[in-house]
Amino acid sequence: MLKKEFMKSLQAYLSTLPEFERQSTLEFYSELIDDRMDEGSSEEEAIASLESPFDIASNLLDIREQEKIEFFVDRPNTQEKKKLWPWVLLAIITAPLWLFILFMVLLFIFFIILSILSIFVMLLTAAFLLIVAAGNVFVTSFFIFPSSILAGISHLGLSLGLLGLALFSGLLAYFVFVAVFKGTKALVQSISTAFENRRARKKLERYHAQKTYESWEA
Amino acid sequence: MDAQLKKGVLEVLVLSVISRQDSYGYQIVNDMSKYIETSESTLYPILKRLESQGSISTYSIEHNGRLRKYYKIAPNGLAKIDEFLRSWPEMLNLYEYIKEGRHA
Repeated sequence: MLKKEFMKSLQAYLSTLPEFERQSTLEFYSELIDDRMDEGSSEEEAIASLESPFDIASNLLDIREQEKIEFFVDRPNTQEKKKLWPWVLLAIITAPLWLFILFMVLLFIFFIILSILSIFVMLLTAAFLLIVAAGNVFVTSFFIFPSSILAGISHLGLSLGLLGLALFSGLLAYFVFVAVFKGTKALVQSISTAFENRRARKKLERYHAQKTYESWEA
Repeated sequence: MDAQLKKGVLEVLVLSVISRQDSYGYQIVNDMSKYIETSESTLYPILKRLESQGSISTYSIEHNGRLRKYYKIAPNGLAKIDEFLRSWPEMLNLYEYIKEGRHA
């Protein structure tokens, strides 16, 4: 017997089962046969290693009835929608609490952003002011040179030092900017890929389930 | 093995196989058959019941162009294994008693 024949028979003998339970059972056996064939058995050998579709079906149906087991665990969406109502009510009742918590979290995030922004602005301002100061001292040094060379040199040195501080401050500002930029980029990316993966997975599962179901429907 | 006894221990055996590593249907049947005689039509309802009780969970991985369903142990499932293991001293006691009575 070939797999298609086997699956069609099994499907027929399980026709008394609800759609989703039958589907789930057929997938299990289809997978089992495929795995046996992957191990090296031929299609005939794989089928022969199993009981007959009739025996399998009657065993399953008996156990299902005696033990009161359901062959399908993931319920279709309709069931989930029914159960949503009490949760909505709970959400409304506890609204003051979670709204408050949500508000505090958003406030916290806002202040974090504000702090980082302030640091960035402060660093830039410092750099700017230091450059102005450096320039000022640099220019002043030339006026001092005629009176005292030593003072002139020290002023020159001071201006260079101020310039160095300005560059340092500017560099820090740059690092802050890059860090924030990269951080938000990474965060956005990881969120979007997580959603994409979830959606792709669900699509793949539905597609494969449909495909295997169709293959022995034909 | 006595049918009733077998029924009692089969579920825990399935849990034990799955607890060692996440497994798919055929793999579980193979591993189990080394220790107890069982068929796929016995295994399947057990898997479904364990899943509905939350003792195991499932996920699918793509393999050779098809989806393969893997079963994974849950804390609930490990608790059941522990419960089984705890009940064995008592089991052994009963066994000794019954054995004694038979060979009196």
